[in-house]
Amino acid sequence: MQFLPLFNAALAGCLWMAVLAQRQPLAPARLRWLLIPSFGIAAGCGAASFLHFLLLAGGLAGPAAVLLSDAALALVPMSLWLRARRKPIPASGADSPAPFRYNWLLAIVLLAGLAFVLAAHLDSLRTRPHGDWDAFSIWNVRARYLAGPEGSWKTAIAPGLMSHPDYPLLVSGLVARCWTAGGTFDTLAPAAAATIFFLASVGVLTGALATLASLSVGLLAGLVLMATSPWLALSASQYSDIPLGLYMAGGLAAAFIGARSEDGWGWMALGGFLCSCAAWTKNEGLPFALFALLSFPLSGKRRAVIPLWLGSLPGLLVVAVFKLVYAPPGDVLAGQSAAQTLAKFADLSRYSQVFEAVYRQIIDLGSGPSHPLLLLVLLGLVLRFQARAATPLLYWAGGVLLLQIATYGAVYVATPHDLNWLLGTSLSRLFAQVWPAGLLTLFSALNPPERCLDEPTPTRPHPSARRKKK
Amino acid sequence: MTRRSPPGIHLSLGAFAALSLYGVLTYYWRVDDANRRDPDPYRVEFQVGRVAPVREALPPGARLGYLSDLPFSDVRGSAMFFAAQYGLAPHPVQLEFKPNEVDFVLGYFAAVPDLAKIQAEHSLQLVREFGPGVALFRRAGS
Repeated sequence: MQFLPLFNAALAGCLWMAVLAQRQPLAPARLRWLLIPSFGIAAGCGAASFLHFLLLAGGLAGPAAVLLSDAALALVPMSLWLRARRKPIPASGADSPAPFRYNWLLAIVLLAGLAFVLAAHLDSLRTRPHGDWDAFSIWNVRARYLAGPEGSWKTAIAPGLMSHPDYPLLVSGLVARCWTAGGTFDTLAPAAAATIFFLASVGVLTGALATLASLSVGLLAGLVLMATSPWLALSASQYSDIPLGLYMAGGLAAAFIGARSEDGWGWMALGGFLCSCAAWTKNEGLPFALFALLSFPLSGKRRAVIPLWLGSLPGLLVVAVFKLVYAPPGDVLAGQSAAQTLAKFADLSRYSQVFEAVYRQIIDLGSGPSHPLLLLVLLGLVLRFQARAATPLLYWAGGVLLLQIATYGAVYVATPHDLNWLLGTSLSRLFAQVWPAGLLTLFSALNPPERCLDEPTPTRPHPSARRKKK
Repeated sequence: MTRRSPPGIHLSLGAFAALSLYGVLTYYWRVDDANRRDPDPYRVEFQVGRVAPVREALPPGARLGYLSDLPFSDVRGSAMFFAAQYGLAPHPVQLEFKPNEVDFVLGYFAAVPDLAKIQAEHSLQLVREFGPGVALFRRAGS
């Protein structure tokens, strides 16, 4: 019973995505099997967590209400999907270039890598079923309070009782939903949530790039992600950083996909919703959502702004209610005066401390010849980045990520906590948050291998176009 | 676009795929080794089991204070507190508390404590001992 809410959230998200793919078809259409579950898990888990918070705030979060709201969450997209699937899927009209000849080999290597990573992931979950430090001290303990008897949920946000009571509740809320429905605090629920967030991250990056650029580019990006050991190591920790990375990459990817076509409003709304999910996952997600949403008009896609903002609205309203009504103030810069903060900004040694730690972190991203930066350099030299990819949309995504990284840097410089301790305990997690979105942005500009080959690359007409010719 | 020879591209991408797979394998071996050597560095599973009988014995809604022989500033001390808090949830456990804010006090010790001394020092009365180093107190006279 405890897995029902998680399964239902993923199913509801997948059904919404299937409806979206039916109305605004993807090119190439065969990538649906990758995009629908990946984006579906992200969106469904976010929606279920928002819903659970509303039930908690309304004093209704008992097992029956969870199961009823679960039914509502899945039934609406189910009815839309059943209606939509009777209609023929309109052709996307886009011709897909002939794929890279060795995509099958890249896919096998990616799947083999994923199998090893999953084996390590499951072994870590078995040996540390309650998760790593932040899992049992923050995320899972809060889930236990959220799933406790009526009223106990406020302990999860009580200052003096919890560490970081101001943190938003996406992951804890999702796990609490499982525990409430199952009537148990079984460790399998957070483990399952961690696993599906990890798999969805790989799927969103690979699938979105396969849609935006080509399948080969998606597979290459997936392989770089698989070679990033600090990111992989967080997958089984049961922290909120992998989910936040998923929502950051998913928000940008959905906006990329939506902005490509004239009728991409559904994808834009999904992008907005995933940005709001980022804000509901961790405090670091809030500046990301604001940067992404507020700067989008600069991307040159003015018609896409309204659906993006509308998609983000319900989630951001919940985040605003949580932050303004329920959560205590954050402790990131608390406990020091404005003058002390300014003095820290004026202290150049703090900047060098931050840069040194960032340098060490970059070195630690991988080991030896399989370091992800070496792999990126190799790809850049062989395939080259395409100048025509440098669109305002790409600058928008890059700008959002740079602003996000600058925000992290500013917080480090100004923090009232011991800087070395803070860098040592958090920098790898911040890298993990922006890494999938960074790869998405970078690989969007990479030449697909099939375009670089000497041999002529004939364009293969879309199947629907072939049918028309016959 | 500069034209490059297909074998060069194919070989480079082959090397790329092999290196990334090597990276995954290195990661797998490292995790496997770490999980063998130090499966649960903060002994959370053990500690959750240690406080589980306390949770069972507590009345619904009971609030707890926390008392230990290890300071919170010590990593072992903070790991013990967070594991106990996690294991006892949804009962709130307060690290710093006033006697009138809590219903019980959890005594959670790394070494076997002198319970009589602790009761006298903190004006507490032992409710029950749950194995070595785990005890539940209430305020003396309450």
